Amino acid sequence: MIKIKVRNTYDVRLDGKPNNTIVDATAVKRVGVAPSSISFIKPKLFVTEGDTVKIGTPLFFDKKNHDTIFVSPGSGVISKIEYGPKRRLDIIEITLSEKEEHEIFIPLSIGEIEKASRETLVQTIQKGGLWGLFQELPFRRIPTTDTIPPSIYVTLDNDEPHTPSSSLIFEKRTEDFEFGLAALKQLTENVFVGVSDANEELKKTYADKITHSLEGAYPANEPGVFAYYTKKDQKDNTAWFIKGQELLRIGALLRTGQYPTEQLISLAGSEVNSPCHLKIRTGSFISDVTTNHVISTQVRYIAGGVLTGRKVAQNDCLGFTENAINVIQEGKLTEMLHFFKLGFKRNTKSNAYASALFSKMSFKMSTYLNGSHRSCIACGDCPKVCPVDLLPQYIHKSYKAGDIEDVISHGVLDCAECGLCAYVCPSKIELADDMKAAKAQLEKETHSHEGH
Amino acid sequence: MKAIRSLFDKLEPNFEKGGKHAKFYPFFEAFYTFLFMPKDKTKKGPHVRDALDTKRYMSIVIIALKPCLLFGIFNTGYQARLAQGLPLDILSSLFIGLKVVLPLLIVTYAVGLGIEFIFAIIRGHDINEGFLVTGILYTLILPPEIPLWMAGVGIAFGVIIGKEVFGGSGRNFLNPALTARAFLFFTYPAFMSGDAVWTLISSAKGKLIDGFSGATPLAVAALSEQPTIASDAITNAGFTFQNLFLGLVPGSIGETSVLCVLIGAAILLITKIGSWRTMLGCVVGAFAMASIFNFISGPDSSPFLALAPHWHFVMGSFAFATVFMATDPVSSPHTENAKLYYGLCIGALGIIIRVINPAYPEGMMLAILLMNVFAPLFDHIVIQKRLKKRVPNVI
Repeated sequence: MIKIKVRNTYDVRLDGKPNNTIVDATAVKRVGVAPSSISFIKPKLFVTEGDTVKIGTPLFFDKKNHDTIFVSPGSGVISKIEYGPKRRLDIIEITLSEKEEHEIFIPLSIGEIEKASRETLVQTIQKGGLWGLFQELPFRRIPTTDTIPPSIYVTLDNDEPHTPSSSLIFEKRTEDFEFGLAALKQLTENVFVGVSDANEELKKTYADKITHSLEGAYPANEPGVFAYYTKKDQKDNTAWFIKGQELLRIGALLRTGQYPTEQLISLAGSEVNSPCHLKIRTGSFISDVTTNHVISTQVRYIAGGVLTGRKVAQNDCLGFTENAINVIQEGKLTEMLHFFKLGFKRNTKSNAYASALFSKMSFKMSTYLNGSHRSCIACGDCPKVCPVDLLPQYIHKSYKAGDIEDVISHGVLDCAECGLCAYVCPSKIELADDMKAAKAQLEKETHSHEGH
Repeated sequence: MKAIRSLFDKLEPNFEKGGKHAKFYPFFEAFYTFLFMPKDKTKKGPHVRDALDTKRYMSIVIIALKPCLLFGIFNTGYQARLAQGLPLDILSSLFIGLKVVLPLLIVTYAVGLGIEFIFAIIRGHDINEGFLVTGILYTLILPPEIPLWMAGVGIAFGVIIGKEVFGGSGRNFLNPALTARAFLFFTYPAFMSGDAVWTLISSAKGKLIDGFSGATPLAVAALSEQPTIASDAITNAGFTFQNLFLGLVPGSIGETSVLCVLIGAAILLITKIGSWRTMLGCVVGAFAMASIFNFISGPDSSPFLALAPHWHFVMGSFAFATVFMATDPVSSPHTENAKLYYGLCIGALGIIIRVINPAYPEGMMLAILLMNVFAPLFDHIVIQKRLKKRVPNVI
């Protein structure tokens, strides 16, 4: 196991960390899929409202890559298809029937996987609707099925506040893990499995499978960071990655021949009664699994982590790779003369408030910007939290000036999209957004030929 | 508190888009966010944000400047009373000092903020907090005898040409307070240099003591001739090392006390708002250049060359410029390593101008302004070296 010391990591110390109990929340009456939460695809429906579907029935595909299909996580009737602005496909809702049925896929044994050809495995995973779990660097889009990546990165841990604990995710799932890894080995030569250096439990349990341990706080275990610290030359730039729980789903699909419908998420944040883990049906709706857990009404629901997650309403469902629900306070009354106060309770990385005198506290935070938008004052805080050695202030300025060449040479494609630069910026500049926008622009320029 | 807040809430619709006074929104926003935390919430990107904002950032710098400001007010009065042979009690000195400094502060802020308000309204963005620091910095580097109208003209130039013309806070490449000061220096030289401006004597009610010269420590050092030793000349003029360190010497309003500057430096360094690299670079650069001069000085050269580095540190504006002027984040280089080289050059150049150039007794202002111009070059070199180490993402 090679140890990687990740630079410039930072723990946001957010309140409301989930405890290790798992509450069963699988008794829901509906599930859904959220196509608009998947980046860089152009979803096109196979089904319409009123159709009956089984677990595993194809629902929609990516117009840019017809092989990438997404299937139903539930068996029942398509009760509603919701569109957003410009006919954006937002939610496909499936009302579950009493007795659910599965589409049959052929299960494989470990031996069969190890002997299977790449094409067979790719097709099996695709038909099972789980090809979309793979993400290809540098743009983090779903890879085309005919590409052979230089390597695939698997990350077992996730330090973003607050995401589920890997120990709970991997409990009793060794078989699925083995199946998943075996499949990956057929897709590429180099499979790298990374775990947090602090995770002694998993390091011991899977000592034979783990290749790297990543030392540092958030975002040491982000796949983009893992890839940055191990890449040696340019061809490594197009590696794929997949996160722990997602690999287990592929393993389960191959082993059982059925689309896996359950997953573990964290329900956390200061506005949750007792932050914990939930066992849910994939694609559950927010309100269905959070009732009785959330105390107040002026809250924001976030699907995913608090730094990179998506703001959702109670009537939204969890997206394809979203495995957390964070509920935090939507800003309330403002304090007076806030900037002259000592600030023992204000969460800051800097030493500008008295809270810096104490370490290891956890802070309750709201969705306040905690300032107003200003121009960059060159404070130099953003490079101090960039794990991939970028200079976000320069990338921001070059991007705004339209100099995309300079942005590329600064390494924006290495950006792991962790959001820490935007988190620390005192001028409240949307740096994380600038990175993503620059990447999206480059993605469009690079892949403009697809989909025709 | 609630009453004030509800007053603001009632007035707000008038200033929002479509309201009667929508043009003056920056005005409303400035007062609202001075009193209360801004109501903005996160819309894209991370859903939570660090508590540090630009207001807090600037507030800490202002707090770091307080010792210099308070001592400066006292010292202005003290020097005036010293020159007239009057009793040196604290209250009288403070009173005289306030009579000079308070109007200067008021004029500076009124003119500066007025110009910023106008630009904010024309451009439609919020008023930036940067000027709150520039205002104090500027006032503290003025000579006590400066006419009020001149101070106003100077800051107007500094804000317009030093900052707003380039796009406002964060987009200037020169230090605005120094730009204003340089403007005054070159436009009204008689009021900015010489022996008559550094002590408050024009309005002296009594007579000046015999032998009063009004020369600053730097002037004394620069004019010293062989075979006098420079430090002796300085001490004999009444400027012992102690007095220089404490700041009980004539000079610009706020720059004399090294002790107060050090307190400010401590505040800036502990809160990590001021860059230690710039400060350290300055000190090391000055030390090195002064040592070189010491080495090459001989019996025929000016005694100033032989003045030891620790004297340079306590004289003139070296300390104040190192801690408060050179560290201005916007006009200094943006990369950490470049700040060190930048500091080294400022320290060295400041000493060179002081010692070698007869026309300028103080070299720090010009050294910093020149290095401001070179800051992007330092950054460019550091960044190029840094980018070469990356595995390129050619697509």
